[in-house]
Amino acid sequence: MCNFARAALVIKEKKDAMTRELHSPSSSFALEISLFPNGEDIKKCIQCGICSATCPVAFASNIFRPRKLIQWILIGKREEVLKSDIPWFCMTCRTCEERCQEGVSPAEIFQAVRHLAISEGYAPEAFKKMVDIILTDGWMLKDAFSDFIEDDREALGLDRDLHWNNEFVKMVKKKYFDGEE
Amino acid sequence: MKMAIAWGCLIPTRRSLIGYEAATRKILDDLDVEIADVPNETCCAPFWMQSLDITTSLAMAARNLAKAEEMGLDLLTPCSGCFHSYKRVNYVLQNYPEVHERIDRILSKAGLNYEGKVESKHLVDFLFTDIGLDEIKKHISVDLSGLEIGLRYGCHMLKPHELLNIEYSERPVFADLILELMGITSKSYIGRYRCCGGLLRGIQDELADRILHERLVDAYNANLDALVTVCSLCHLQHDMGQRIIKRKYGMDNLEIPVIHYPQLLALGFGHSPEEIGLKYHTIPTEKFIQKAMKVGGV
Ligand code: SF4
Ligand code: SF4
Repeated sequence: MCNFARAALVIKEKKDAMTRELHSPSSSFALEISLFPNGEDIKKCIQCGICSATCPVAFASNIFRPRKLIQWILIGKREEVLKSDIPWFCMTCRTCEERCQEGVSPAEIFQAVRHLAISEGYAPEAFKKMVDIILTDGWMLKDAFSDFIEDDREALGLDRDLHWNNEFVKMVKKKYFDGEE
Repeated sequence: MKMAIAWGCLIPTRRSLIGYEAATRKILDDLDVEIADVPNETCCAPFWMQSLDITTSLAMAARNLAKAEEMGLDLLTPCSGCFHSYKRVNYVLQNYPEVHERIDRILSKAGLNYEGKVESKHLVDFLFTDIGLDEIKKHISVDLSGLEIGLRYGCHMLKPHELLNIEYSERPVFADLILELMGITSKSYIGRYRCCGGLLRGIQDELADRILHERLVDAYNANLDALVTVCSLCHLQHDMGQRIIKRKYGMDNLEIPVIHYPQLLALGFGHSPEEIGLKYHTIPTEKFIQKAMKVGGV
């Protein structure tokens, strides 16, 4: 094996060992989050701040910092976090996840936070409205889809009718806001 | 080759986006890729929708995948948001058996079944990986050397790359390589890989403006003939949003045409600007078309 390959192997082993080293969640809120798909990774967060340095929203805003939000979860500020609109600043672009060296996905953690916020009645109005539209019509833009656009579609040789419908969402609608079964 | 296709909700319904669909249909036809629309497509429950309840939101995306599976086809989508949702379904099914079971139960109530066999592909990655540069090259009839564009990959087609099974996203090149086949110069400039802020629209408009302003200043300084976008949200943000930024920040000379990725390819394949809906964009595309015609000798 050449030196380069050996070095790569050592680095890989080190990395594997590092990502295996989990911290136990320090608050019941962190434990709660760790039960969601990919939420378990919160245990790996070392609070290094790469996510905050990376995040395009943090760059433009002075209140959203993914590392800090994770810290609030780790120390158990459950009420503050769920009531706050800060978890809703994350656009799920997942740049932070791509760069995090510890295998944490802040985007998925905040997804779980928002889920809890919604089930406890803290969803922002804009969000509730969007969900209601999607679960009534089956898609988001039924209202915006006008005759004019149908004409433009026809002019381009595209089908006027889009065939979207609400058959499937009718069935799932009642499940929403009731939480998971 | 035959693929099922799910267009997403934005592309077929927004005036400035229908050209995306028209151009995609044209180039796939040229490349001998037969496509079958997913019947009665349902919302893929993207981004924030997934925080409502992961089981039900993923079941919505799985519904379209189940339809593709019924057809015995893999699933193509030009929408980066949909692509992300579909990839996430397969990942969660494989890794979280309890969620898998719950999704199955929802689908079965609708008389559907999804085994997880469908591979979803983003249009641009499909062109690069499944069709390939050599094949694409054979279809190029117009040389567009001299055009200088700024290509925006967007976020959701790329990240995280393990989940999406796509080239590592820090500095991707696959989409540039295709454009370079037509002689186009895909300029490297500050901010080309950075987020457009599109998902904050309607929720945090001030922040969305601030991020977009930065992106447009980057693009303006790069002196481009056009911005080229892959993601439909990125297009709405840069094309429709450009008007807002122009007024709000007093950028009087700001007028950068924003072209959809497949539209550029369709021009290279010899289609006319009329066929691919370039006149429906918010920022006029005439100047760009004139330059393309001139360099292409059409
Ligand atoms: S999520 Fe990752 S990048 Fe962010 S602070 Fe934790 S370890 Fe660092
Ligand atoms: S996923 Fe959210 S927290 Fe992470 S970089 Fe993107 S906007 Fe910031």
